[in-house]
Amino acid sequence: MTAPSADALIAAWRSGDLSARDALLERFAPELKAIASAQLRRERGVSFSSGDLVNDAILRLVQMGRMHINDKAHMMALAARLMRRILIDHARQRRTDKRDHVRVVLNEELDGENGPDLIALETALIRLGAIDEGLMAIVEMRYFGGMAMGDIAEVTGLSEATLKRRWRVARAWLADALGGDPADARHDD
Amino acid sequence: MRWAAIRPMPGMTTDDPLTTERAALALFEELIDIRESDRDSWIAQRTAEPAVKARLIAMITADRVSSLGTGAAAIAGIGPAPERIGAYRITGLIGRGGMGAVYRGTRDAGDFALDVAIKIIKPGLLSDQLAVRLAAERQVLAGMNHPNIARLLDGGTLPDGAPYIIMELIDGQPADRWANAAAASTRTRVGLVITAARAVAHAHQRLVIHRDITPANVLVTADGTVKLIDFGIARVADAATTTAADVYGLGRLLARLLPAPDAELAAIIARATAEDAAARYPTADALADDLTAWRDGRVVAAMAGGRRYAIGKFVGRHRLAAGASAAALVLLLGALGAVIAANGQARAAEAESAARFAQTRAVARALLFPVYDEVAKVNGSTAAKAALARTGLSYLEALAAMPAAPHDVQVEAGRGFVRLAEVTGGGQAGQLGRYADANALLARAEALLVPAWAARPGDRATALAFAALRLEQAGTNLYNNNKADAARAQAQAAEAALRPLASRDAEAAALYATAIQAMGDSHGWNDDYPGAFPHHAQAEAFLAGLPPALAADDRVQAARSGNLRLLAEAAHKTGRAEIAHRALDDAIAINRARLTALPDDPPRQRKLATSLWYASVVHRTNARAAAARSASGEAVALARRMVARDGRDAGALQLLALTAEVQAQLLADAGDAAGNAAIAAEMLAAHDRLVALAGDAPGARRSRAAALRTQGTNRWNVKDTAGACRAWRDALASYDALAAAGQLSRLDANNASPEMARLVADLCGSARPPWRRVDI
Repeated sequence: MTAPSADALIAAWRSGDLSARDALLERFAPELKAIASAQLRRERGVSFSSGDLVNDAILRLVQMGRMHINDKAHMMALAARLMRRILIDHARQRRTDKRDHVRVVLNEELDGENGPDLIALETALIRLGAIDEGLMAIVEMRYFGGMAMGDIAEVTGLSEATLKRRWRVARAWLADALGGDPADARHDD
Repeated sequence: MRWAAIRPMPGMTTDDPLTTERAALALFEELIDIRESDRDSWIAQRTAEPAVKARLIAMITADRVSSLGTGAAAIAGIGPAPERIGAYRITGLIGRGGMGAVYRGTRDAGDFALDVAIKIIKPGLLSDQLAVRLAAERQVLAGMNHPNIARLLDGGTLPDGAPYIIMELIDGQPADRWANAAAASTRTRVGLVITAARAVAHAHQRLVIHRDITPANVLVTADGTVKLIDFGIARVADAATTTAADVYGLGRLLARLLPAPDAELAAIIARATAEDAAARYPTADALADDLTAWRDGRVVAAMAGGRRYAIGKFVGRHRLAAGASAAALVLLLGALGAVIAANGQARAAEAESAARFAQTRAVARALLFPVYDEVAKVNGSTAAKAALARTGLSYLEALAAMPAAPHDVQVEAGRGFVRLAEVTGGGQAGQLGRYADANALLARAEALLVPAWAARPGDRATALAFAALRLEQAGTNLYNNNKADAARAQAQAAEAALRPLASRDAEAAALYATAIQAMGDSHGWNDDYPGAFPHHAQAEAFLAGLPPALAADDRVQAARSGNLRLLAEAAHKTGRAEIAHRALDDAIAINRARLTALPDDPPRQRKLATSLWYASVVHRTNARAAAARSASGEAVALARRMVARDGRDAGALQLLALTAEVQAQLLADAGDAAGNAAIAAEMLAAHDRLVALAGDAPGARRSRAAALRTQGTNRWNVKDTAGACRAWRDALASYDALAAAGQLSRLDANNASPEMARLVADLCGSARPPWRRVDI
């Protein structure tokens, strides 16, 4: 028996089969990872946004004919999950390599001086996922994938109004869990 | 953990922590829609669980003071600190962040002693908003002198390209830490925020928005002076959210400083941090005024609407007997006060909107013209240019959205959109190569400028803006969309609009000549050189005949050199060799002189490279190989310098592709197969980047196919038949793809495409004929 095609997996995911999503993630992980690592290597020493990276990676997959542009939102969600893994790995690695003055920051503004600690964020996200997996997924897509609400709506099937509200709930919960340092407070919807 | 004391940690609750968390989350989601004043009773009604309640309150608190932005992770490496910068020696590190590092420095130029803070931005980081931020910070802060704002002393760029700024070093503590350490009274804390708000208002009047007012950025020195620091992210913000963002920040600062505010201060905090920006104080001054009113025991505007409150305040202050007549008087006074306050607010709002409008205009203009041009000269500034374009767009949107905007504003906004289209996707130097965006921007300009032009065709600014629009549309249609007829009609419209003004000033003259030239190029682009020649000759006659003062103007010179190049091309292709040579010599001479006057100016480098490139083309055709190679070599070198400056500058890449193509031909002519292969690889790499930048637009693909076609011939002529067939097949596939999408130009459909098919069929099949030279 042959493995289901990527199209079939995406269709299954669209109809709510989360194991199809996981299968897709495993299938595309090597490629997405290669693209992201290439970027990371090339961009070493400078700053970049994970949202751009995700967009770029998806664009490349489209260009390579590996996926349909119609599946962009779903693929971005996959890439966002992967990006989270990559960045956390990176942050952990950096933490053990003090000679290299690299700091991982997570901040829309890229100034990063007030950004939360990625590893603390990851710990909190895992906890949030246990409480409400949907909230964690929204944070993942929005935070790591830099995805627009419209794209997240397509993946989750929630309305944009609901998403905005859920995003705010997740942010408040995380802010509390992270010690709510108000220095990085920012209102954007 | 700031709230650890008032809530149980998740995972430590006695019952089922997950159930508690889920219940709290669900309630919080509903609570978002409940009015703040009704929340306490709502919570009491909805849950009796102390653990759930505690978690809910913790989330509400966290929601109020903190929210994580839409994310993008950033990874930044920071190199070692330089030993000194200008007159300052680096003495220590204050802090690092993703953006760069802040060092402590001391002046050791021997004149006077001064300790400073030096912020160094990683050169690669000069991307997106950062470049805009820093430029804005330096320009505006340098002009700002306020006792409560840290002064900007100097700024510049290090040899490695890292921008830096030198600021007054503030030896102070973050406001909250200072207040707690000093056990400051509520009045003192309020006074601190009043001072900060007045300083913010001062900055607002000078177009600076801090954007990141936090306790960490509001320092208090040992002598109690408040200093706002880190305008590092101060920037000219979106027009609609400018002042409101800082009012919000001040409100949060207030909340942070006052853990247990009284009802009035709570109302002030609520108003300053209202979700809806329109519900906040209209200005930082208005917030300061209300805080001052609180301090003086007067009526606080944030409580407005609560009449009982106002009367109570009044009675409290004047200790009036609560007699019937007194109560009536108070009611009357209260009503009067409300009217006065409303009027005052309306006037303030009007003044605010007028000021914001003027600012918006000024900033849009500055961003899109001088600032953009300056930034375009900086190494690797494409990202900064894109950021500028984006920021400019937000200002233009604000201008265009002004209800009943006056005529000149419509024209200005329209001109701004045209300019944005030029820099995002036009054929201009330093453009960003995004055609789709450019088309959308031109549509915006059209909606503003066509009615403006219809209303006042005689107005100079309107005519210039309208003509600029039509010319940019013509360029887009011709070079990006392959629509020569539409381009010609638009160029004609521009020419007609400018004709009455043409000889009045340099700007109009240059634009007029460009319009005539565009009419010519609408023929020449599809190789109709007999059609093109008279237009270019007419434009040259017009420019050469201008009075000396106008003719010497650089804009006129620039227009003239461009037209001379096209005149030479049309003359050359129609067998007018003498005119062609003269035109080329004139163009090169003009451009050498212009570049000598300003050696590092990319547009001038581009112009000179273009005229040299074309001279090499003509020399080659006329079998003057040495002259051709000399001109071509110089042109390639200039183009390489421009690409090295910024590898994403589509204009520079186009130039490299063009000049390298001629160089490749010249090397193939000389039988240098290896040299040809090397330069051709450089050329194709430039084309590949152009196609990617253009998002696969047909114009870029057409150019790439044409280059492949020529290179195939080059390979054939150096007897590399396999290489030749590879290039031709690639070109043919491109033409086929264009044809399938209905995007193949008539010229290519009639010439290049069938020619490629023929060459591939005749020379690349299995029954390959013996090698013979081919010429295209």
